[in-house]
Amino acid sequence: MTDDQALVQDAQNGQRNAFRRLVEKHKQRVYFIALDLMGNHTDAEDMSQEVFIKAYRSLSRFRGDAQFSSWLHRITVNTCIDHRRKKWWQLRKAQKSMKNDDTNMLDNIPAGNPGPEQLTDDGLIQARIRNALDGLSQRERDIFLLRHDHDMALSDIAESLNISLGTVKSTLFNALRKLRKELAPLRRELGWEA
Amino acid sequence: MKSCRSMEKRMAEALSGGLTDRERSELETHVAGCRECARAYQEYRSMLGTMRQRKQAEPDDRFMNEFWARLSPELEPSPKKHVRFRLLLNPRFALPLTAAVCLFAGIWIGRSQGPVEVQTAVRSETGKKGKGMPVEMRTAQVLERSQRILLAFSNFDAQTDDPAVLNLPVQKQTARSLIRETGLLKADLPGDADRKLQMLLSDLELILLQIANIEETVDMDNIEIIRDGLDKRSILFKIQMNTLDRSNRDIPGPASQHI
Repeated sequence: MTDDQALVQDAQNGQRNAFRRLVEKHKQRVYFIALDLMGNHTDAEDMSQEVFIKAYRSLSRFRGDAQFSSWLHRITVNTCIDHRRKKWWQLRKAQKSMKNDDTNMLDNIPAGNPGPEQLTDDGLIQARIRNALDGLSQRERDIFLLRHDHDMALSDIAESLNISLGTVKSTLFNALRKLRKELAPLRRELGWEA
Repeated sequence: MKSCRSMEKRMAEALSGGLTDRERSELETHVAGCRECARAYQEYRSMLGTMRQRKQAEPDDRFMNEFWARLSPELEPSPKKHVRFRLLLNPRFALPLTAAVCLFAGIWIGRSQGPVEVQTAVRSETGKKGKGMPVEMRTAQVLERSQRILLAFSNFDAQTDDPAVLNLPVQKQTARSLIRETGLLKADLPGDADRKLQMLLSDLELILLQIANIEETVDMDNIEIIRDGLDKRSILFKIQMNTLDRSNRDIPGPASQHI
């Protein structure tokens, strides 16, 4: 029995301290996933809290067929996507109500001008990575990061996003092609050439 | 030999962990004999290596140190009464609830006091032409019934709502009945009828058609399509405007007629 399984079992038996240990162990990973999906610290923090509340309330339904971390990550993706969808609707409503204002709220996000940190090699690489990710669609970015940054299984991603495994694979393919296209011209700069 | 294009797709799958042993072996054989693909595969690997260097902003100390302290009180079960009261204050629940109460009160009062109007209304609802009822009354009735269905879709939240709340079989049946009534109503509208109303009824027919044909299992993609259509055509807004317009002109709605 893994450490998580034992803690889950104790938490299911009502031991609050066991759940606390699970929270402490997984909160950072949940936060990073939420940060990627929500794009800002405040939302990521709120979502992390919501994820653990949901996990706590549905802990009795967790049968242990999958790993606790996979289950938790699926809740994280569901919670963030759902919240993002609500936010998107609210934003659209707000935009519609701003009839006399020609400015688009979505266009007001400041452009990523290079800051002083980008003058270093590392800063430069981070800026290239950010630019490359910005070139992906929202879904491509989500799926790419969930698979390659957060190591979520393809089947878990498909289930969380409520799409087929084939769609996950083809979206990943498109994302990888776009990223390569964006980064390949910088191969020397990025040290791809031995 | 497989094409380079199909192999490129396979490279992506290999790097994302979705290949069988046989597919992987085919890929390796191809890459060993194709310089272009070998270069592409190497670039994909390097690209993923670069992407792995991505740094995310670390959560601040407050998050790390105080997370449990802030989470813990939220884990306490909240008193049910409190939740119910909060739900009643939430416009998402309060508005449909108020509408439903008004409707049932109207039907109940209408049945006990106004047999003539009720019979006409029932006739209209079953799809027959409500010749005895003015067109404006029938319009109000169709719009009010449609609004109830559309609000159910607009307010449905897959994360928190029980799918049974949508009651798709009933919604589909009502949508079919409304499509019939809307069609009859459009035919009965006078030639000089308000163009906006004609357009609204046409838009309404389309959305109702989507609802009538939706699968009975709750699928968020299908619901999103309906919501998107609602939003693009601003149907709920237009219904609301029509209701306001009628009330400004003192044209009674179906419920008030029953009373």
